[in-house]
Amino acid sequence: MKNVVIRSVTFFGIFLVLFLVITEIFKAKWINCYSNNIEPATLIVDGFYENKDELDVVFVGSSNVYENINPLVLFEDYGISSYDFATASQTMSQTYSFTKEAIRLKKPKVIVLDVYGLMYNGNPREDRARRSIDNIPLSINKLEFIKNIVTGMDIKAISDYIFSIKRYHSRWTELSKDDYTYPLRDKHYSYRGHQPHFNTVSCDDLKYNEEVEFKGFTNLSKEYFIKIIELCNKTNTSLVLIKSPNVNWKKVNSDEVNKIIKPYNIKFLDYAKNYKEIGIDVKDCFRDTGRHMNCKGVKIYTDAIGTYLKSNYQLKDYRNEEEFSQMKDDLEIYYQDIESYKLSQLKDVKQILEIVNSNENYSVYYNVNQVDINKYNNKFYQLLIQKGINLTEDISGKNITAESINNLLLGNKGINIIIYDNLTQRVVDNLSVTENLVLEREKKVIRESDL
Amino acid sequence: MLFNSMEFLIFFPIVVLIYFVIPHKIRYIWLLAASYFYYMCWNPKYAILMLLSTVITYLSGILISRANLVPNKLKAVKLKKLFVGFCFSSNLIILFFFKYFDFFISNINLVLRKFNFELLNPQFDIILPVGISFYTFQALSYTMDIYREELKPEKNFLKYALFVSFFPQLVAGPIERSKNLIHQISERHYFEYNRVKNGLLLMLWGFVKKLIIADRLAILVNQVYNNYHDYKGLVLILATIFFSFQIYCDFSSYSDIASGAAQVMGFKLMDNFKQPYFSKSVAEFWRRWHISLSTWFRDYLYIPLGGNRVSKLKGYFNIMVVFAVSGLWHGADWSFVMWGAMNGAYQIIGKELKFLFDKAATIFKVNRESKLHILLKIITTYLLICFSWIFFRADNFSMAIQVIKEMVMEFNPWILTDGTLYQLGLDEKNFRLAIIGIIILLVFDYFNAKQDIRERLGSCHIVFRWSVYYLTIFSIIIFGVYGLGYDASQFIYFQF
Repeated sequence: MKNVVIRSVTFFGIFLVLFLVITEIFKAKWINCYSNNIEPATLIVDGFYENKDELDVVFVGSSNVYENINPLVLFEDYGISSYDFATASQTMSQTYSFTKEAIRLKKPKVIVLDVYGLMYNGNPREDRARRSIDNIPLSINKLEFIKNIVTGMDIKAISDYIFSIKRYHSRWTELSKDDYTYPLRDKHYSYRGHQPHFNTVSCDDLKYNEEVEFKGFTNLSKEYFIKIIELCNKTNTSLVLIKSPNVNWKKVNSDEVNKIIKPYNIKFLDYAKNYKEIGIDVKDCFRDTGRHMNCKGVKIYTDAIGTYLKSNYQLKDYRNEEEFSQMKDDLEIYYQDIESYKLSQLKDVKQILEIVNSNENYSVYYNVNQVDINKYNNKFYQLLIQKGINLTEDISGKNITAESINNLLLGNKGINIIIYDNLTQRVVDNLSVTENLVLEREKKVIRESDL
Repeated sequence: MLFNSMEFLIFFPIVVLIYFVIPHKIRYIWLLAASYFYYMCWNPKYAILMLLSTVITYLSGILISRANLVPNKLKAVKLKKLFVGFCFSSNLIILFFFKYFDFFISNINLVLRKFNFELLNPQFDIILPVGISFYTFQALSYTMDIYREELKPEKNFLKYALFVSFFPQLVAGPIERSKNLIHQISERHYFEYNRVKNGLLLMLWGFVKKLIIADRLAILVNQVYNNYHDYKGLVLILATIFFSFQIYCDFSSYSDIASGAAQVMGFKLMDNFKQPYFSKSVAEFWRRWHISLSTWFRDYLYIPLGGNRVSKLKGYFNIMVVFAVSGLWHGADWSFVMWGAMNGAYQIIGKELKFLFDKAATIFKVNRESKLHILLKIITTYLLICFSWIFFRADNFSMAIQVIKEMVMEFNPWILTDGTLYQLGLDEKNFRLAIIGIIILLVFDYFNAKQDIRERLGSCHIVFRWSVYYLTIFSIIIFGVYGLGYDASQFIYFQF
């Protein structure tokens, strides 16, 4: 009998290990922080658990948080240590679970909640729920989280969230290199929960005072909103409410928030109302039609929040702390990304190559397709070969493979060039140049997994 | 609670654990409670019907056995027949009402319409209780065995109720014989490592067949058969071939899981499938396919009708009756009757043509033991059976005819290479996996016929053995068709 017990325990032990490994491989992974459509939810959540820094401020909420607040700016300008612990379209019940988890793990001095989630009704869409839940480690909190978003005690739905392999096993037809390598990768997320956007879409006034039909927030939203307030009170965590500038948020919404928080002593910073006062310009601070900001708007908005936090709370300045030396590298990535975006907007190929040659992080790969390279302008040629690696050469040992480069090259008649950023390990520009130095770009989203 | 559901994965270990922990004396009560709970998970109201059938057959059994004690033999026989008649008719009336009433009314209306009479429109909302055909037949076999004095009646009502409701085989068979199962209920079953392991392995193989093969094939089959007007030629042939393996995997997987679950608890259920697609004749196929039902019809219908100990014509008539009724047992539609009749007809034609085959074999000096000859017979049998499956899968008789027409009207071999195959519900990878599944099934059947693979595996080194176990379990987890977005398809035989 003893033998049977030992065998059974060993068998199930090995099974459990294999099961966990396979679960990790099959899990859907949202790990591209440069995507225009989906937030890097896996990076945000994993990065939060991986973060070993002392966090004084944690921002919770929806995309209004992770797209609009940059913890790197907050650190650089105020020395505040913070993290955007948020995923897309979070309902208040999701945000409540995130807040609970943030307080349990990090015990921050301040929780900053963007109240946009009050506008969402009922339970979250499954894909959005998954992006927030899947990477939270199994705990009582997680089980409560699942229970909050599943209607009733639906065992099937609950087990689907606990054993995510049930949902993702059919991904066997589409597993990529990332699925195998990501679980072993360092989960540090340089942007600390923030998803940066660099493009600009100008929009009209946000019409905060516009009168719209509004029936009030749902009881479910209000219930969890009050739960968050009570949780912060109970744990002696300061709570600050904010609303980022957003064309969908109107005065009536803010009035309703003020009504709810009247019995509580809570500060509500309504930047949807005061965006002009802090310097947000609708012409060049948004990346879509007035809902989420680009890096310029983010910088202004984050600074405004930083000013408030610094002057109202005793927050330590971590800028000279040894433990925060990683921040310098992370800031370098941030500035490199800004530079890369600017680079990708330039139309003068010589100017592009000059910048590339002066920045040690860039590599240049090119091929010559159906043209005579001698017919090209000599200065351009000199700039090209200064750093450029002709793809006929051996590029083994580089971060990028010849196969992936060849897949990405535009293949136009002329010289096709790829600019690769070794710091962020991604292709930042993909262009071709004719004999007359006319530049062509294909607008295509480069995924990390393409590399 | 389907076998391939989360609920069963929780239910079964709990039942087994408690079963082995509690004293032997009360184990049958625990299993009875578990079985009724299992059945009531579908609909608690169904349990009342099962209980009714149980009470009727239990009392009939006691009354029949008491009638044997009546000194006047003639009166005793009359009484016995009366009780059997009452038992059979009451059970079959319940079965008829729940399963065939709609079919009956629609046929009556068909006749009434011909003569321009007012149509019947009964205001019933009848839902077919899960597994009613299975437990009714199982209970009736008990009555018949008592009547034939092949079995003594079970006096303990709870033990008898467990015989009717034993959860592993309750809703989709095998239809157990009272002679085989009842005595096992009173036996003591100990926890034996090897028996439990073998039971679990059988269940595992059942899950492979159900989740990886049957449910994957079902995607293509449903796509094509539900839109049969859009498909022609080889596509319909392919869907029919896929269906032949789908229904085999589906039904045999259920039997394997049932037998495996019973084996874990120390019960031995009868074999229900023995490599049916390796049969060399249709008659042999029916000795290998759904054995518990075939033998039920043999023992309780074919033999009472006279079997083959009658004139040739009457014998053929008996075969046709048995197969037509068997068809009707599978479903309340003429297409099922046609399917059954076809299988009966195959056998009669086979018997009639036997002398021709014998003569041809002599003239052409055919070696009937040669592997090629055997292979040809297997293929021919498979094709005949496959053809009959069209009637089984089609929603009704006219659809089956239409499918056959569309199948032969167009010869379109290009669908094998132009990518059409991957637009029938399964993408390329899943289609390939389906084909691999069928090959594994056939190879497994082939070797299992020679020696029980579980035994063979048991003698291998532990590293190899455990690797096979893990590979199988994770294949089910990864390649199984289940989970959110997928409504775990019902086992095909549940509605019979």
